[in-house]
Amino acid sequence: MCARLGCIQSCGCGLCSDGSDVTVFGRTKTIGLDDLLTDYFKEQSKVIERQSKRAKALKDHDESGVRQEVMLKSLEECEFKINEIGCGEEEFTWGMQVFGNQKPAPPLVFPELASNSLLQSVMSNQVNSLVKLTVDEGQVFFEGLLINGWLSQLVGRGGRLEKSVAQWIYHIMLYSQKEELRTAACNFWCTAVQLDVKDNKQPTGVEWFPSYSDLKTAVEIYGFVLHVPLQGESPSADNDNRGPPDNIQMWIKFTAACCQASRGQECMFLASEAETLLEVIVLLSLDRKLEGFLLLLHDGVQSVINYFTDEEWQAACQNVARSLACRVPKDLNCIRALESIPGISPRANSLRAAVSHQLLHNSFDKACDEEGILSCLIAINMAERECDLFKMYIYLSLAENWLLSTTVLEDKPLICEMWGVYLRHCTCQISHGDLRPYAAKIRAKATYLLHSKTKKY
Amino acid sequence: MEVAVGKRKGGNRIVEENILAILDSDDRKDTRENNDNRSAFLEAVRSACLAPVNGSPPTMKMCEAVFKILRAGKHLDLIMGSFWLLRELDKRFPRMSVSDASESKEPQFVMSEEAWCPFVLNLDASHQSKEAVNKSNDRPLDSLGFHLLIQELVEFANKIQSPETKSLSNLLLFQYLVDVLEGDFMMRNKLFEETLNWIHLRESLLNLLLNSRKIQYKNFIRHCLILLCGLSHPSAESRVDVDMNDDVLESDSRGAVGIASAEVRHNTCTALQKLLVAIMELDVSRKKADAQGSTTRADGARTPLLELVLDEVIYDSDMLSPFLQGFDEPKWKTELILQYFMKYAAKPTVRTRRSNTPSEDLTISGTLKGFSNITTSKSIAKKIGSDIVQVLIAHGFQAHLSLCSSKQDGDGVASPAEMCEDVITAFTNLKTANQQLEILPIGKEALFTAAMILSTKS
Repeated sequence: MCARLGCIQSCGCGLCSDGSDVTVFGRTKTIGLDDLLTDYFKEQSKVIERQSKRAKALKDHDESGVRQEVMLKSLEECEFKINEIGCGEEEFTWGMQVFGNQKPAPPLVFPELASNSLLQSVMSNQVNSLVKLTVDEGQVFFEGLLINGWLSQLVGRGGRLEKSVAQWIYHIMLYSQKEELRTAACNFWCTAVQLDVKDNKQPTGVEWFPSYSDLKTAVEIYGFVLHVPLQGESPSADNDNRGPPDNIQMWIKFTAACCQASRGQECMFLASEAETLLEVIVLLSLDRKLEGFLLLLHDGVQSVINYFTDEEWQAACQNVARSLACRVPKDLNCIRALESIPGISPRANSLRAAVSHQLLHNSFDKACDEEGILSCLIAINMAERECDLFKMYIYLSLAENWLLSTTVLEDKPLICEMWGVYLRHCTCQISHGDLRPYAAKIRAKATYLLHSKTKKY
Repeated sequence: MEVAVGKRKGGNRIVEENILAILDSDDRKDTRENNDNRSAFLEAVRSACLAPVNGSPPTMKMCEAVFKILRAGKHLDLIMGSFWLLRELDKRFPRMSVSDASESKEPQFVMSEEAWCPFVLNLDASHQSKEAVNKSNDRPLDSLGFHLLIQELVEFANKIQSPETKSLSNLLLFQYLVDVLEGDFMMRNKLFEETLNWIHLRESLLNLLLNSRKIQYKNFIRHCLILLCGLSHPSAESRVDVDMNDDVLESDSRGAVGIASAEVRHNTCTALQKLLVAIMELDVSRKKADAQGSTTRADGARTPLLELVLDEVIYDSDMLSPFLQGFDEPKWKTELILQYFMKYAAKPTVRTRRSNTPSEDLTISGTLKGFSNITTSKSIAKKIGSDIVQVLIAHGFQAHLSLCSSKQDGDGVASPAEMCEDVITAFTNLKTANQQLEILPIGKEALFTAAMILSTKS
């Protein structure tokens, strides 16, 4: 209100304070005193009106505030109840600590490097008048040779590479902290093993090749424990020393390269060794740290799978499945493990099917054939409150991977029928508004599978 | 151009609807629920299209949705999964195939009708506003979008900050796009070489991209070169600082970005090199087409890439060494080095750059003959600069060795042994001409390798 009056005064009206001014004002302008007065009172009444409105609004606001609080409270209660019903859903995710504490890596300084004949022969060569190499610089010089790819050229031209140098490069690949060096070393070894295949007429000049046990030692140094079921969290591992180091990617790459290269001539690994490697690579995909290596891991799995001969594969597939099923926990991790097997080739699909079959088989002790497992699944009543729907979700996903990765549904009408019954159970026993955790997921998945099933068969 | 009619069209629609239903309609939100749906969707596409031996090809909408997941770039596993899937889908269901030559007079392309392409480069798409095409994640990119992507990558490659999920997604997106461009080009170029019909290449994605008026060709190439140099250096620090208070799984996820970035960078560098090589090959074919008069004014004029690169590395000599390190395709590397020497060392009368046929006697070993006596070595070194000469000789030698091992012996290429001797002579003469000359590490390495190869031969 004061602001408003101030405005009027500053107009030069000065209505309330001084009458003399008014006459001056009246002379110059045709606006009469009455007009001003009515204006003034109009303003006054507006102000009063506004004040009363504000007071009313404030009162209303208080009331609505109370109402709001009540609403909020009941909302909170609802939320709480929903959380109570659906508790734990957020907790489930995949990810395991596949690696424990790292062991000390072997030293990367090779005193023999200086004494190797390669270096010696250059130092005695006339070229050394230009190169001016001394024994002390040996290692640095060799690092340069490696990074710029000269060693690969040398080996590619049939040059001799002594054991000490070969071992040194191998160690750099798997244990060096320098990215540039280990990448170059990995490139060198991947070309070297493949060279071995190309010109098998003449032996390559590389005098030492890593073997399975070297690869195995490496993952063990990284902290991987072979042949032990995985645990969710290993409290013993401290965060700083927990594996794997970044070199793990070189390990995966090199393993894949070995498998791609050494078929057709003398094999680098025995079938049982390749089985272990396959298992290791699948388990690696459970480590969240290696999430970004999906392509490398897929490639690795695919290469090892193709390494087996047809005769070996049948048995190998079952062995790997059995072993994986014992080591992977039956939660989202086992689904992740299945997904890490790139299901785009018949062999990969059969491995997927075998692993999921094995996992289901382990869950239902009595049943081992398709019919048995499916009737166990059908017998579960998901409408019951006590039913662990998370477990059911895993079962459904496993069954999907198991049945859809092979042609069993097309070959056996009975199984196909039972699969349909099971899927309909999933959609019928769980109602649309079911708030239990994973209820909606099971419903959605089963609906999807049911749709694709009717389309196909 | 023929269009193949999808055989299982009706079936595809049902599959498509069913699979797309997995993605929630309101999938813009980044909730746990939506992300689970996205990864279930990726898995469903794989299972429908890739798992069966005769799976049905993905529909456009399905591809679009996968592409969108890659571009959204929110979560590492989704990015990796969608990238892998897109590549595998392209491998299994190529966008085009070449029909049998015996049926028609000329081999023809068969475009598959349902094939989806991550590019819109046709003129009729130009009415769409720039922003709409490139900003939204599920739309294909146009040439400008591709250029912008490269600019973003340049920024990423040159900064020392720890990598983010988004930059990884950009790097992978670039790799995928280059795959598409290159695959399309290679197929058309092969057909061009058989039929000499320029129309095949005129319509190639790569040609459309480079001739697009939305981008400035020279700027585009400049950015590519800067990117190559940036990527060829190893990343300064790829490790992500992990907050100790973080929950283990979460910190693992963030660590994963850091651990993966080196590999992704490396692959991006390879992809970029593929792109440059494809452009150079396109230039060669273009020259052929020009010579037989099948190009028109509408094709526009473009400076060959090799000349641009040459200008760039001559102008900015700091760029030479990183470029040669990043670019290791031996054929074009050799060509570049030869052109470099020619620009300075060749006598004006034998300038062959104008002529259409590359001169046959122009080889690395021919060039090295220029260093066979001290006087000429001295003058070349003076013109080019003694450090640059060493870098050029060493890289030329290396490229030559790679070419030799990929080709059969006796292909008119100088034998490695001769080459090794020439390299040693060249360096010796350079040193004799200038006693103060410091031989660079790369020169020493070349000398060492040459000496070693000679010693195994003897």
